[in-house]
Amino acid sequence: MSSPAVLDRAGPPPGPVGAPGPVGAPGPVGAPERLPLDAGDQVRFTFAMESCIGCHACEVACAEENSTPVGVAWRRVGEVEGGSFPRTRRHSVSMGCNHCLEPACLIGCPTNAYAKLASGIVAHRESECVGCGYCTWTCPYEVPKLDPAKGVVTKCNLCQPRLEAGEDPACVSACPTRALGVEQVDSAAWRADHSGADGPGLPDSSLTISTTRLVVPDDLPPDTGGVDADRARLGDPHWPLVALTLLSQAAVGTMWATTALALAASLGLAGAPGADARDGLVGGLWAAAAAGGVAMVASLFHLGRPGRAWKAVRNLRRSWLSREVVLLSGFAGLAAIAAAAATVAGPGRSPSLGLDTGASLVGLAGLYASGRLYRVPARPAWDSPRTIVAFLATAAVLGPLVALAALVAVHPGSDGPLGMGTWRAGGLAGGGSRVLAAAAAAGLLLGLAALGHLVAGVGGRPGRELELTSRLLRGPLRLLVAARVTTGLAGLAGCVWTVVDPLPGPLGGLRLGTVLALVGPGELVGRYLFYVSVTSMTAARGWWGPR
Amino acid sequence: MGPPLRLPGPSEGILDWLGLGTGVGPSATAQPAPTEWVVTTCGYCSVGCGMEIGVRGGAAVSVRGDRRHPVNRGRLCPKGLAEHHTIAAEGRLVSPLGRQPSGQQVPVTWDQALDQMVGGITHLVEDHGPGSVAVLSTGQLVTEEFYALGKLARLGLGLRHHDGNTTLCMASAVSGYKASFGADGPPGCYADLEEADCILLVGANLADNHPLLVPRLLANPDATVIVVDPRVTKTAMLADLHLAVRPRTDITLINGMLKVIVEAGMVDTDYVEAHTEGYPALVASLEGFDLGRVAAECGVAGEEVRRAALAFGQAPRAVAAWTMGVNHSVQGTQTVTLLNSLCLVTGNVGRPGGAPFSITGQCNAMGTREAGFTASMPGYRSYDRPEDRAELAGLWGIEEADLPAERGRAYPDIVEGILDGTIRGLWVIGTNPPVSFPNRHRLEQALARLDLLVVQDGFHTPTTDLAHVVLPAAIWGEKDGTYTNSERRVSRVRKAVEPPGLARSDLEIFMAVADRLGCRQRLFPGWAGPADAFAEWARVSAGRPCDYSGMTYQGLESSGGLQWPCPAGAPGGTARLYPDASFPTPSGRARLWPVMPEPVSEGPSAAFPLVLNTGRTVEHWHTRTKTGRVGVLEALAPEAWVEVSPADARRLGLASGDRARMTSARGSIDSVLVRVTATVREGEVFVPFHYDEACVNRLTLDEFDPVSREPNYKQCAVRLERT
Repeated sequence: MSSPAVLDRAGPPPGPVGAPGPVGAPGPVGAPERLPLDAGDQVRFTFAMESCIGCHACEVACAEENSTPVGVAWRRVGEVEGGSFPRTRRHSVSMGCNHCLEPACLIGCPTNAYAKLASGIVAHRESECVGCGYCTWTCPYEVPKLDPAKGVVTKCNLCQPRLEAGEDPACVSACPTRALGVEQVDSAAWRADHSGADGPGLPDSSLTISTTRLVVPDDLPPDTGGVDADRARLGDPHWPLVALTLLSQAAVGTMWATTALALAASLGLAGAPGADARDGLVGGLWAAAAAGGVAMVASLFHLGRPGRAWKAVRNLRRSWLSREVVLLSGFAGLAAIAAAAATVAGPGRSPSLGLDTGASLVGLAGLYASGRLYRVPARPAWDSPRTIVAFLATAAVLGPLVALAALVAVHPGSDGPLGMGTWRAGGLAGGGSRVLAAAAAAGLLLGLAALGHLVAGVGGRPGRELELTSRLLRGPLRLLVAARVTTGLAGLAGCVWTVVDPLPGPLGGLRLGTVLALVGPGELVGRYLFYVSVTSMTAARGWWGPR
Repeated sequence: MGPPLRLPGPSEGILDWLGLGTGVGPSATAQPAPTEWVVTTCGYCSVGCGMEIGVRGGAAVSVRGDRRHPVNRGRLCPKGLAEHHTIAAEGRLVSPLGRQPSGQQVPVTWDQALDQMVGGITHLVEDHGPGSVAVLSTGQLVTEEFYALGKLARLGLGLRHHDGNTTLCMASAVSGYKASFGADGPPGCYADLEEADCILLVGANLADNHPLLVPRLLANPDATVIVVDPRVTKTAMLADLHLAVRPRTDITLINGMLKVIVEAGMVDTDYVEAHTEGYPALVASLEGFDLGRVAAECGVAGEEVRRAALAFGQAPRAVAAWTMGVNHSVQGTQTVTLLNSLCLVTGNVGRPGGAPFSITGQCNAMGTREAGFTASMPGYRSYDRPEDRAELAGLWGIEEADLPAERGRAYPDIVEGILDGTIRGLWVIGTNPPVSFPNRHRLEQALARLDLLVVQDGFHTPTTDLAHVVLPAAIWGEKDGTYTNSERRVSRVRKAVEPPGLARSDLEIFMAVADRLGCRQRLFPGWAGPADAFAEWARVSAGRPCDYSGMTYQGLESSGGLQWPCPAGAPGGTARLYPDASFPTPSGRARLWPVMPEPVSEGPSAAFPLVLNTGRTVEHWHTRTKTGRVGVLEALAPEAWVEVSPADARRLGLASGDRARMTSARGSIDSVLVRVTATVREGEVFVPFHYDEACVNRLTLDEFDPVSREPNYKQCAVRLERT
């Protein structure tokens, strides 16, 4: 009943037309004959673009059936347009979940809240969801939606309860022109040829192997595309994630710098910190541990259900997000142990060099995982090695500066200008301060290069999304880009100056403070830009934009 | 031994917060299933879809399409699918309101409100005559209420001026039908869309405005569908041929098509000779409408006009259907007669698959046409036909002289009457003129002049805000009666829940007014409810074109609605009018009228270089009194927009998502969202009219069809500027 209806645009409306009997007598609300699923088959939606009149009945029926609140649309009708007046073509694209063969939501979900059922339905279990929203990034069709009231993601389940009762999904049942349908598909055959899931205004179906079969008019103008496709919109800044990434990168970088100084000292290298700097090095370890811990706490504020945060480690097998959580938490723990051990050990050389090194390596892996999880094909501006480079660069900038600042903080002088510490770090760190300043300078250069790369709209998956990101950075965000570049260059100058002349003494302290005061906010602005400038792939939206 | 000790454990809330609970969160609970389904008819547009309201605990919690209803066969449009939300929407009027001397509206009792209203009207009539107070009603009451209101307004209050917002909507179809066929009444039916070989849709965007008629088109894939519309609408996308004519060049186009049909020898000469009059004059009027001129004026290729004409002329069965694109014109009546003529000369009247067919707007605009005592007396009786007057007076047991001598002022003339001081009191029922009437500034000036403004509605609206007395009314789902749809099908409307607070059904309000006037027994003898009104109306309609005398509530309920005429002898109703080509004109023949196009009075100029077209969108209904309060619909189209062609947008420096100011000679909208789209022609812009917040009727032209008095909403000159 359902499969032919999709192709049969002339098919009669359902129901016993003109049948005798009292109107409205209670009866089954549509019980289409449905075969049991064969092994290897799955159930899927079909959509005949030419039959859709854009009435949105499917959306309303879906909202009613599933009691979804306004703003959490499990199905939505987008619009594509092409050609020129009067031969303009405009069509609607109704999309629920595509119940993909390679569901990006499921693969990335850190809690394994998703499951691909035997029926092929990509089911989401709200009770397992922490509301991290990662699936809202990974799905190229913008299907999963964060429900702010519930604090978790919800999504289309193909009306599984209705299917089990032998009824069509609510959207299919409501479609007045039978443009929507459900049918079975042989998964293996579809995997081999899924071109039927491609259509105007839709992402490349090979990203996730969408199973929705579209019937697209064969005479669409070549320029047919989503009516919203050219509008650049600022994204969510995700402030808890700004904090998580910046603080974790600063923490790991600080651990690296402190470990490097301690290692140099233990090896007795020329220019290594002297014994009087030891407390400062311990301070660096504590700074790394504190920043790492605060980063993890900050990340909780990103979650809709922070109480369940522990569930985010359940998908180590597939999810870079799970790996990030484990590695960065592990780093913060190791850093705290290292700092505690160094504190307890008292005077003398640090006994925690092994711990320091271990923490540094775990932190490196954590930063890699952290950057790697942003390599989401559905977000082309992030889906580039540039993201990982930029994250590591931030660690290289902030780490050395924080480590040096820790030396100052632990050994404040009383003779500094403006009441701040005497610039003893240079002296304490010896020639190491030059190395650290050089590392920070390199990090700044890398970070600026990464930003320039992004503003130029190169790298990553090419397409309109990257162009829109570039347009945002050149347009409404240009002042912030300028601020980021200016502070970066000024910080770079300060770092280079330090390399040339470590300048121990009060002026050196002022310089370190100035560099930190410039590059800290600069990195903050850079990370803000990273989040707000990203443009998602999406199934064609209506011209009202995301819903 | 006592009961086992129960240790307090962590609450389910904490477990749930930790993800250890068994539930999926408090808000995941599905809507409880209704305990009762009440069969009714949709209260939005006049397609007239059958539906059921799900009731639980005295509240409407759900709706579903009625699978056995012949109109929609179980399916609904998005508005219908969310219609139960209108009942408990915020903004319902729950108490009568009276205006204090301070200007503030405060809740009052029904007695106080009715005293103020009836006393005020009575005083005005005593001091200034029966022409000093007018009634403006709607197309959204039940027929029983229209019938009662007509009697109350004309015979009880004795008012001379009674009209409704149907004049803003379908009046041109009414007067066009009367001019061509001698009586109102859409001759065709929905089944004709499935049976026709050619369907000409003029100014009709079914996909947005009558979505449940589209399945009829899709069920007829062999038919040639021709859409005439200045925009590339969703409906144009369904067409085999879309003629994107320039605004208001439809008369030129149809004249051109008629000329092709005449010259190609495709006229049904037998039919024309036997059943029409005026053919020679019609043919003579086509002189000069050669394809070259038609193409140049309409902005479409001459070859396409010929294709359309041949498709219509050659089709064994052809339907010419239209909506507001035709009616909303100073030449609306004439355009309707021309479409009627197109059908008449090709013999497409009164047979399956062949008909002129107006697709009505409001759920029961037809009901007020039939029973409403506005443009005609109940049962399409003429004010000036002695036999009609005698018959009606006899049926009611009153003196013929008690019937009004004439129709009185139509809606725009009531507004003029207020402005010139002759009308001082106005009773507005179920309509929202500040948003829906053209040239809002002038309309607001008029409403501000009134000594007494009584507004009866289900919701707070911009109109109730201005009222001296506000009467809270029950809405769809809260009262009983009947609606008539576009194909003359009378369907039952049923009460599912009680109205909120002190709100009463419109019929109860009319009865209460009649009680105050002391005319209830005289006008509404023995009426206890809508069924009594229906019984009287069915009797009064007997023998008339809209004959209900074979209808009963029970018959309507068991059949899914009956199409009039449904005389007592033929209780199955009538699918099509004029099957025997006998027309209720003096000669018994249908009349063919020559029609000459007139230029648009306000074309583009240097100051206002764009032509503004207005219309509707599927998500909203009228002035959003209801749909604006239904979250799921409002979210789909939350504010007004202007559609601008890419070329105009480039010239004006506008991009999609920008905001623009729009100005005409009459007013301006400060901020309207820009949508750049190639679905409109360069030089033309389109704005939906639903939005009070960006009200396009601040800009529209208050010019009216001289016969139907329908406004010319769809062409005026505007300027667009980036803000």
